[in-house]
Amino acid sequence: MNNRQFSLLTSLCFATTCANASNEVSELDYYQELPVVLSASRLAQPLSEAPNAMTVIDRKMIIASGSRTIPDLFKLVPGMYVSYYKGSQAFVSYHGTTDQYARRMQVMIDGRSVYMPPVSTVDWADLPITVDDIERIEVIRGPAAASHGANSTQGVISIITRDAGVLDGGSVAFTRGGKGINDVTARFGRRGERFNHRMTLAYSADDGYDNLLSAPPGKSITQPQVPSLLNNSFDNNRSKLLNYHADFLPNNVDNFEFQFGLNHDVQTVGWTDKNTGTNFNTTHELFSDASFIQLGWVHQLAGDSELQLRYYHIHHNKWERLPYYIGGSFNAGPITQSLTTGRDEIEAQHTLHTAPNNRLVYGAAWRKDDIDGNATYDNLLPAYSFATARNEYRIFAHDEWRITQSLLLNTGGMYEKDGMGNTNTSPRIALNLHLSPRRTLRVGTSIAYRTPALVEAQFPSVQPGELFIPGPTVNSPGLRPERMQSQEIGYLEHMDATSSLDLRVFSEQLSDGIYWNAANMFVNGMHTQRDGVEITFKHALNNDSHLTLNLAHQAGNSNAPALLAAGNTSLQPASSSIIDSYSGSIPRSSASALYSQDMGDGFSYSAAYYFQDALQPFDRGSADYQPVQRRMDVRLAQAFHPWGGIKGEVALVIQNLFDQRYTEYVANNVFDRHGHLTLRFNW
Amino acid sequence: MFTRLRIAFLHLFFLCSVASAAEPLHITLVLSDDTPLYQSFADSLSQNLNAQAKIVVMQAEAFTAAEPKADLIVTVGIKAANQVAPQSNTPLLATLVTLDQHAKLSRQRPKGASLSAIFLNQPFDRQLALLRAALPDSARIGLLYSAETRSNADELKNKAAQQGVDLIARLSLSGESLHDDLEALLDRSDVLLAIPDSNIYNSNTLRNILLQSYRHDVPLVGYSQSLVRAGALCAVYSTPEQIAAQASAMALQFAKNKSLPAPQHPKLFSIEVNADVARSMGITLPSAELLRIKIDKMQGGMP
Repeated sequence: MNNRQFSLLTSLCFATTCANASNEVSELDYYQELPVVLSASRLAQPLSEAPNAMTVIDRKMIIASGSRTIPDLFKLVPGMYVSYYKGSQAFVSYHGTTDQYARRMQVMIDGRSVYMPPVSTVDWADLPITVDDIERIEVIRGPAAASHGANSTQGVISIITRDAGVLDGGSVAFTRGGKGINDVTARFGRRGERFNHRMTLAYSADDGYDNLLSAPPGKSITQPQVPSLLNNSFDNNRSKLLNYHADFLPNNVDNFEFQFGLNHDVQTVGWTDKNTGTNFNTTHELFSDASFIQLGWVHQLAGDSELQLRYYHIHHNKWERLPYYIGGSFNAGPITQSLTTGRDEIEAQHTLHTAPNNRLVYGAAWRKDDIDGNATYDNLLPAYSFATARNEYRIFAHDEWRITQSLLLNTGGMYEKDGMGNTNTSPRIALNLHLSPRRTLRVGTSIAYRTPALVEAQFPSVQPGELFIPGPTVNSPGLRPERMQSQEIGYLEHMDATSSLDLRVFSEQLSDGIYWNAANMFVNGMHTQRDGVEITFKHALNNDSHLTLNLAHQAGNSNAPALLAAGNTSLQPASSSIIDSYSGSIPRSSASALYSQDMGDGFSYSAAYYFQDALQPFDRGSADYQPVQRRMDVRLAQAFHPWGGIKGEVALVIQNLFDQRYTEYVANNVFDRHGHLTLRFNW
Repeated sequence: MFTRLRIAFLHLFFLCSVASAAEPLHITLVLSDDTPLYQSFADSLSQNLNAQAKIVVMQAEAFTAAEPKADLIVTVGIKAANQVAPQSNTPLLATLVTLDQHAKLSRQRPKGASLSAIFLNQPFDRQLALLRAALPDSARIGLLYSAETRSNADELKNKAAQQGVDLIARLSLSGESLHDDLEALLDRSDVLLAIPDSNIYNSNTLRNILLQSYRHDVPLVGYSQSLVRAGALCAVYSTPEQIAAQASAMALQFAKNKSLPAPQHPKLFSIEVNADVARSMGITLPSAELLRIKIDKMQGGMP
């Protein structure tokens, strides 16, 4: 039967099924045509065939981790560094970072890049999704520009939210806990024949880290960078968010997706005791409205071929008002700053089998970023505005060639114009050899670029408050993209149905790295070398208990000492025990473990353990040296049936059970034991 | 001389077949609808029987007992069978009907009127052979059924028990509880065996069922080609052409013996696999051809 006959049959079948009140099985059940559900774009590439190392954090792991916020989930990725500049200002970076903006990792939600200008970073506090909205997270470890574009320099985080049809009914959850944790989430969803939709409404609040009453562990409050560390009460976060996701399936070959979301977030920011007398960042509130709308169309063509079209628009608006100190005296000011960032992107992608053993994905995209900043610096400086637009274009192709049953060749590349006058070509090649059905060896190499951030090229001469309004002139001219090259060998083994091992040995070189030089400019010229090994071991003790173990070990060096010798004092290590300020900023070893057990009768428990070696944050003083971190989290949950068709669950999470207090990127942030309790009802 | 004899012999044989063609079997073929499914059955039947039968094709609505006398009526689909069974005394071969429908039809037949059938569903042994050939490590087979398919499920449970198969059957009573029932079943199963049941598997629910089982990393083994295209791992099924071929053979047997063979399951079948789904789920799945060979072996070389 050809396709046309099938579709004819289909329409008739639907008509008949609908008209036929009886649900008796008939020939139509056997011969009716059905929509393609697990299409190429929905099917995840198995780890043994992927061109990169990848960590998948699925729904079960998300729940078992007990994490209330998204950034904490990445502690379950080997080699990932997760830390906090403030309670509400998390950052996530693979293989270390040179500042709290972690600018070398692409982050996407359902294919939508939330890595935003002008700083080129991700604001984890204003994402319009909750942990509960996430179906799974795929983290590509290593450069992946060939498939994800510029700025996938160290890796890519891809967050996949839950399907519109996942919920048919409603759910409310209340969370209360220490540190002012106070969350309410309501979710509604409807599964229909041709239309599925769901909505989340959430309020989330916490008070961040405690105001310190004594020196952090292992610290003396007389250490040099700041005269006192005893303040950090200004990192509260209050967020109200909404997201909506609808799928419309008018027929068996088309799938339309519609999403929108918004997050109104208020953070308390600033410092009371930083540079007293010249404090340009006094305590104040930072307001943020982040919204997006996304449209998607997936069209199935004959012969397992698929066409995808996606458009999205992101709109971020942030503003702050603050008084300041200058020359030792207080100025009520206020300084006001606002920053609006808009992003529009259209991407078209075609997936097809060019031969039974060859699959090709190719496409093109256009992206436009609008950045609009306004600042009024009282009588200090004249009012200042900044506006620019950047157009980026890219074309890409990826080919998956199964040379033999046991040999798979992944080749891909992306060519792009980054809107700042640079063109990059990012290739990737990987060969996957199935030594046996259970064992795979992967050898790959890849190149990726990071486009300089707008504020790197146009660094503002004064930086009051939290927001960076790009300066009026290009004061760091001639910046080129940073280039990352990586080689890796991977080995995957499924020992049996219950255990698997994923090993990656890598060597990566960053060249043309951007740093702050002696002339107070951002320039290219930092070179780093990083080698390491990462291991993930998974074991299901039985159907009800799961264990995941992650280990990472890495060593590296850079030309930071040479650059320092040339007079670039920004690369001065914070203490004399460190020679290479860059290498010192990366934890040599880190590990995480997650164990979950379902005891039956609705009771389950899980435990997570995190370990991280000591490090000296790259751009912080010796006061912020991070000693070894050890942390154990536990979660206990009991399901119950309060009444009718309602299902309830009460879950207790205690983080840092043994109160092994440790300091974050900024040492004022001391992570100590605290817990939260969640009560949830589903119907 | 010998050559001539042989030619004469062949001639005689030819005459014989012409003689039988001179009095072909008169078949009335009654279709439930005129969609491609039924049309391809009709085309296939006429091609197979060629000169050996005279076939009158009609739609179910047009059928009356006063139709020109046929030796055999073949119906395609339940609607046609329901239309013909109570009205006509002519021997009836009902194709594309379920076991339950066949039982009901036989009660509706006039006294003494013969009835045979080709069932829709594949024999359970064949489905089990496919599961074993495709997923030798998947010990626990999950089965979701509704009140409508309770009898099928009971039969499957008995067969499974006989063969020492770990079949976990779960009854789902309403559309509202479907998601939770499936969730509970997927937690306990290595593979989900789908049986036709429009309370459970329909175009409305299929999307979520496939996504849900995919999320649980549990493959779904289906019963139709389109289910495999939609996202099931594999299925054993019979095309309308294959059923028509079997019906042709039964018609010829009828012409020879003047009595219908016993009702039977589809004899000719095809295997469809979704290699993309297998790959994504990390399942090393043999090709459809190899699966076919394995199934034939398990079933004692039966074609």
